[in-house]
Amino acid sequence: MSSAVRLALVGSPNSGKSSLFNALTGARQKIANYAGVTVERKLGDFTTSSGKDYEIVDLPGMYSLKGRSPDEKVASDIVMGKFEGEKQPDFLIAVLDTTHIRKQMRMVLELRDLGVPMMVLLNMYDLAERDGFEIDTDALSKELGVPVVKSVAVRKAGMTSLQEFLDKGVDLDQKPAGKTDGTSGQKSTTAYQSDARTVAKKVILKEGMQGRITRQLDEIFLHPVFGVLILMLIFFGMFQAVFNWAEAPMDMIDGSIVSLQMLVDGAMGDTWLKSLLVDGILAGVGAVVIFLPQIIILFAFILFMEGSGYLARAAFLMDRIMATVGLNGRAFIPLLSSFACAIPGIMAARTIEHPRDRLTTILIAPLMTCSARLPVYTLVIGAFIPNTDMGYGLGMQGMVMFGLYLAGILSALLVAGILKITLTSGTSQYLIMELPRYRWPEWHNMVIGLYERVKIFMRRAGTMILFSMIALWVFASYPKPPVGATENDIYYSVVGWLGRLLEPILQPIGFNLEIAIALIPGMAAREVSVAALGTVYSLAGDDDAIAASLVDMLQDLWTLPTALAFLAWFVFAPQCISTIAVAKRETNSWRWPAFMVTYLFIMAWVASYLTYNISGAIIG
Amino acid sequence: MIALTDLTKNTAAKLEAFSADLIDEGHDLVERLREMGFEEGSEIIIRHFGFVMRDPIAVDVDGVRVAIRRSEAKVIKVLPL
Repeated sequence: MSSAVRLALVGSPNSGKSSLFNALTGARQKIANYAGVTVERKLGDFTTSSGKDYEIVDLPGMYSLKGRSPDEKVASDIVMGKFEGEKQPDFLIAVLDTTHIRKQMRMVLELRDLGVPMMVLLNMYDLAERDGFEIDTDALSKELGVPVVKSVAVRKAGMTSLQEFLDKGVDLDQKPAGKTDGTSGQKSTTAYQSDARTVAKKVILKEGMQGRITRQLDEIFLHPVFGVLILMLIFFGMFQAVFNWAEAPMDMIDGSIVSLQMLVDGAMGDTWLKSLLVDGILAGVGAVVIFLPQIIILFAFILFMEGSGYLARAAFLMDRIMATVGLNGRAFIPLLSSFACAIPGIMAARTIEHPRDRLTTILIAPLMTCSARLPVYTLVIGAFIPNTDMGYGLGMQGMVMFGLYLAGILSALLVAGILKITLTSGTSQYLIMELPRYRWPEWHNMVIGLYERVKIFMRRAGTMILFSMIALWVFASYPKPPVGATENDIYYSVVGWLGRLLEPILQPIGFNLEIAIALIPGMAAREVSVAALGTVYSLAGDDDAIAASLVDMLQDLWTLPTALAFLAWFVFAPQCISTIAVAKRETNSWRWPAFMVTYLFIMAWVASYLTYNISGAIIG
Repeated sequence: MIALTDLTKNTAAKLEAFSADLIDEGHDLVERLREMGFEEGSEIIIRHFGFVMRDPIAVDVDGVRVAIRRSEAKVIKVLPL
C-alpha cells in the first residue's frame, strides 16, 4: 500500500475532479474526515492495465492556495505538505475545466511554483471544443514545463489518455519550471493573474462562449417568476418524496423488525437475554435502519441537483430570503428536509460551503417540526382540542397543528438571528458562487455518492444510535422491581429514578411524574413517547390500541394547560438521540451538540412554562 | 465609471477597478473575487437578478457565470462598453 505512488487531484470546484475520482477508483474509496476538521478525506486505489498501483486522493475543491475556507485550507496544506498526519502527495494532477482555462490558469501557476511533480489535465475537452475553444497543449506543456493531457468529458471511456499516461508511470524526479522553490503564495494574486494572462494568450488559440444550452436554461431556471415556480415545484416534490415515498419502505423495515422481534420472542424463554435481544438490540438496529429510506431519497434528489448544476441555481434563488437571517441560499434544502426528519437534514448541510452557515443550519434544523412529532401532536390534539369549525373549512385542530409548525419555524429564524450576532459571528461571509454549466448527472456518480452517504451514516451515526438504544433499554429495565411491587416496572428502573429526578424541574411547567418518565424513553425517537406514555399508564396492546385508549386516559388525567404545555415542549423537543448523534458526527465535536441540546431544552422549558401558566390563568 | 450594481442587465462592461474601502473586510473580498476570475480588464455582463430585491446577481465574467450579492458587487467598478 505505502509503496504506491500517491496522486492528488487538485482543482477548483466544478472542474469535474470528483467524477474523475469516481471513474478511476470506482467503489474502492475510503471516505473519512481529516483529523480535527469536518472536511471530507477521499482516498482510493487505482491499478493501471499493466499493473501499476496508485493511491489517489481527491482534495477538496479550491480556488487558490491561500486557504480561505476550511476546505481550501486542508487542500492547500496537503499539497504543500503542511498538514500534520497527511503525507504530501508524490504527484499532483491539476484538473482544469477546459472551458474555464483562462480563469483556472492562475492556480495552475501557483501549484507549479510549489516544485512538486505535476501534470495538467484539460478536463471536458470535448465540451470546450464544441463551444469553440482550441488549446495549444504543446505550447502549454512547454510554457509550464509539465505534461499536459486532454480528457474527454467525464465518462470512463474519455479517460483513456489519462490512464495511458499513468500506465507509463509518472516522473517523480520532474522539477516543474517554477520560479520559487517549494513556497507558493509568495507572489500576490495580482502578480499571478498577470502571469496567467501571459500564458493564456500563448496557448488559447480560439476562445468560444460557454454553453448556449446553459444560457438558455438559465433564462428559465433563474427567471424571477417561472424560475421561482419551478423551484417551488421541485422543493415540493422533494419534500413529498422524503415524506411519502419513504413511508412504504419505512413500514417494511418496521414490519421486518417487529416480525424478527416476535420470532425471537417465541423462540426464547423469558430471560434477560431475550429482552436485551428484542427490546435492546433489535429495537436499536431498527432505529438506525429506519432512517435509510429518507436519507437515500433526499440524497438522490440532492446528488441529482448537484450533478446537474441546478443546486447552485436553487441557492441563487433562495439566497436573499435566507440572508435575512444570516444564512445563505444553500441552507434551504437541509432545513426543508428537516420537516421530514432532522437526520437527513443535518447530513444535507454538507452542501453548505461556509462553516459558519453550516453550523447555524445544523443547530436550527431540529426546530423544523419533524414527522416523528406528528404522532405526539395527533394524540394530544385529538384528546384536548375540540374540532370546532372555524369557518372557511378550517378546523380548530388543524389550526393548532399549523400553529405548532409555525412556532417551530419562527423560533428557528429567531435562533439563527441570535446566533448570527453572537456565537457564530466573525468575519463576514460572502456569496461568491460559480454557476456551473448544466449537464446530465451520471448514474455512476450518483450511485457511488448515495452508497458513500449510507456508509457514513451507518458507520458513524448508526453505531452511536445503536449503543444509545441498548443503553436506554438497560436503563428502562434495571433495576428490577422488588417482590410485591405495586407500580409498573419502569418506576423502579434507572429511567424511573431519572424521572423522579427530573420531576421537580418539570413540575413548574405542569408535567407530572408519568410525563417525566415517558420523556426519557422518548429520547430514542419522539414518537416513542406515545408508546412510553402507554407503558407508564400501564396500557397494553399494539401501538394503535394504546394511542386510542390513551386519548380517554389523558382526558381524565391531564388538565388542558398540561396538555398545551406538552405540545409546546414538543415544538422544541430536545430529546432525540439520533439527532444528537448526527450533529456530533457532522460538527465533529461534542461542544455543538451539547450547546444544541441545552438551548433546545431551555427553549422547551420556557415555552412550556409560559404556555402552562398563561393558559392556566385564562382558564382560571 | 459606475458600480456593477448600477449596470443594466445584458449590457457588456469592462472591469476597471475594485474599491475595497467600501465595505469591511473589503480587501479579503477583492482577493476572493480575483480568485473567481474577476480582474481589471475582464468583460462583465449582468445576466440575471434574484427575485427578491434583485439580489443576488448572476454575472458572466469572461464567459464564466458567477453569482454574487449586491453588497459585494458594489466594490466592483465597471465601464459600460
